[in-house]
Amino acid sequence: MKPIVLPIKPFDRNLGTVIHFRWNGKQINSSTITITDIEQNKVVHSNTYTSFQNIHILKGSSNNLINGKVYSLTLKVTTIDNEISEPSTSVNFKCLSTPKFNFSNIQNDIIVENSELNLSLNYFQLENEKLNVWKIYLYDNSKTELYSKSMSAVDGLFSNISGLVDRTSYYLRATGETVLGMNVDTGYVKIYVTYNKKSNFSDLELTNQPDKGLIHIKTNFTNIDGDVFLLREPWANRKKDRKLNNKEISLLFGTENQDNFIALNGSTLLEYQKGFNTGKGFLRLFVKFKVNAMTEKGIILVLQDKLDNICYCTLRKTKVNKDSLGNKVSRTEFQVLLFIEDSQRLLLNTYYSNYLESVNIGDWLILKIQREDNSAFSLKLMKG
Amino acid sequence: MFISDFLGTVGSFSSLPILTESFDILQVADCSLSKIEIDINKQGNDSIPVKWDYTTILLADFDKDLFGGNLKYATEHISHIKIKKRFKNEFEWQTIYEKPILKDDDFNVELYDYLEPSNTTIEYCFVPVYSSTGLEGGMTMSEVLSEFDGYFLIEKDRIFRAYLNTENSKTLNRETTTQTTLGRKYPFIIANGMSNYYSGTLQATFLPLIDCEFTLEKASKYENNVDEFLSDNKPKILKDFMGNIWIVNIVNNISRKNNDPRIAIHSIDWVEIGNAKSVVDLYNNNLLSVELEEI
Repeated sequence: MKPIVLPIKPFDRNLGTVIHFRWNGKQINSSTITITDIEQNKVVHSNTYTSFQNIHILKGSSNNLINGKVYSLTLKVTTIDNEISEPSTSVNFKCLSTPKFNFSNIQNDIIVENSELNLSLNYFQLENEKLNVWKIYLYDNSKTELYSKSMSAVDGLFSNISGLVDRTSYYLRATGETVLGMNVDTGYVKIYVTYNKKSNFSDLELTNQPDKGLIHIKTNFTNIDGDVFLLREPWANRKKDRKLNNKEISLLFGTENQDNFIALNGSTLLEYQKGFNTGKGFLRLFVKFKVNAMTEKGIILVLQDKLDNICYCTLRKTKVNKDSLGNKVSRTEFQVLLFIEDSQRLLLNTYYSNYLESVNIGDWLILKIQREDNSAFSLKLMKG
Repeated sequence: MFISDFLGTVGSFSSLPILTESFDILQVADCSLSKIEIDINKQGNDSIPVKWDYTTILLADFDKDLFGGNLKYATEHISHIKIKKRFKNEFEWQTIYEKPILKDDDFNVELYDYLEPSNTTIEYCFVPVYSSTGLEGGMTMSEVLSEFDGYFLIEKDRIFRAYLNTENSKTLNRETTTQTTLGRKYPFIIANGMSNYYSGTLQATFLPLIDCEFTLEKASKYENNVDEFLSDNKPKILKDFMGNIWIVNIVNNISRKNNDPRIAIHSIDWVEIGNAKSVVDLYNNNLLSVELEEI
């Protein structure tokens, strides 16, 4: 009697696979597989897996297979009485690298400002295995399926979803199957639909669910509170002396025209350290400020993570009497100094100078720091 | 007016690997500071956003406080929060949820309200309660139009939906007596008592809904679950797509007939036993779990 190995779908040799087989004899104790490279007619992998079930787990880390090649596999079982079966009829299979399958125009947490969304996807497989069919899914925010549509890859990796409801979050997902039966999946991608982004964000999000007969209620609150510390010495080492109490802090607030502000000097430090996290990808930071007239210094701004990695930015004003060609000028330059350091060492220390026209002490300025998805930084200075 | 671009165009400065970290500490010194805003809005321009939206991470405007979130309360000052509801154009709020506040995350709640009728605009509000005074703070309000499809039978932790073959006949029951007399052509109508309630018969097919499609595969087991649910003698909410809603008890026998061998039509007799728009009646019939001081 010999076992029957069920067809094996292509798999990534790095991930391995589960081999299923049928066996009608005595209770099995283990199974042994032998994998042969068909081109070279050479055994490349052999393994015994102990299990009472009719499966054999081929681990990704320990096999000697190569993606892109075709192999044949035979399997023998060993029963609990130590009887070894005949080898099964050989089954051919192919190893393929895991395809890349993702949305090309949608990222996680994107905001959709219409009720309709055009979707496009990317597919790439290293060994040129073609995509056969794919399916697009739309889920509500509890991941209950609302809509799905199957398509052939020959018709292109494009689709369209309409009927998205304002002030609602959804999940998008696409799955597919290659010609040889390999499964691909983009995973869940969250989107927010808000027709008019600014006016429609709600702290209290309500969703009518018609087929469940209920209203889904969700609060969207973020609680962030800052502290102000007195430093032991002006800025240099950021060592805190003590936290200011509410009464002391209230003396720092002011209003100028319609701008509320808090007046900080080189010895008072405003800190937010609880309730927010920028995430690792794209971010924008705006700061509206004005330099202190007395000290002629600019803002000092620090973004820090829990590992003490620091992005440190400061603005200082200097008087310039000659330009780079030696010509006499008299103007104010702003220098932005940018430091990047971790707890051990300074990784970057550079500054950038720019001549700012028609900016005086007392003018409100806006500094914008932007980090792209590829972690490239850029800075802009604008009049407030 | 845009004045300068310190590092040229966006992306001109390639960063070091550490800059991919998540920052969670922000420090500012040595300036008069009017606004700080952090967001992940890729489509935004160069003006500072003034309101919170889904992309905002921190927004502080220093209006005599240091708050950087969209909640202007310090956690230590709030003892608990409430979610209340009312029908639009009514005045009185009804509390449907309460939660003590022990940490910042406690401000965020997610719940489902099964007890609302269809075709109704419902207002909900979020209210914090101050720990020092016990007084309620400012409300955050929002409203939604309920639109449900089919008939629903609901207990506190179970809900069954009937969408197919539905028919609900109902009667408004009043206790009256017709009294004829010898010397009078027309009878006297005597209407003593206050009883005034609906009863009726709901005919419907209950089928499991899987991936937004009704399935016949597990229909029989599902129908048995429906029978067990209908015969548990517990008060239930019955509501329909038109906006009718009642607190009911199921009475008499529960029968099924099959026009198609795979699809059964339940016949359910029901009697109204309370006002489904009254929080007190809902609470007394074990359909609402919140402990209310208003009750």
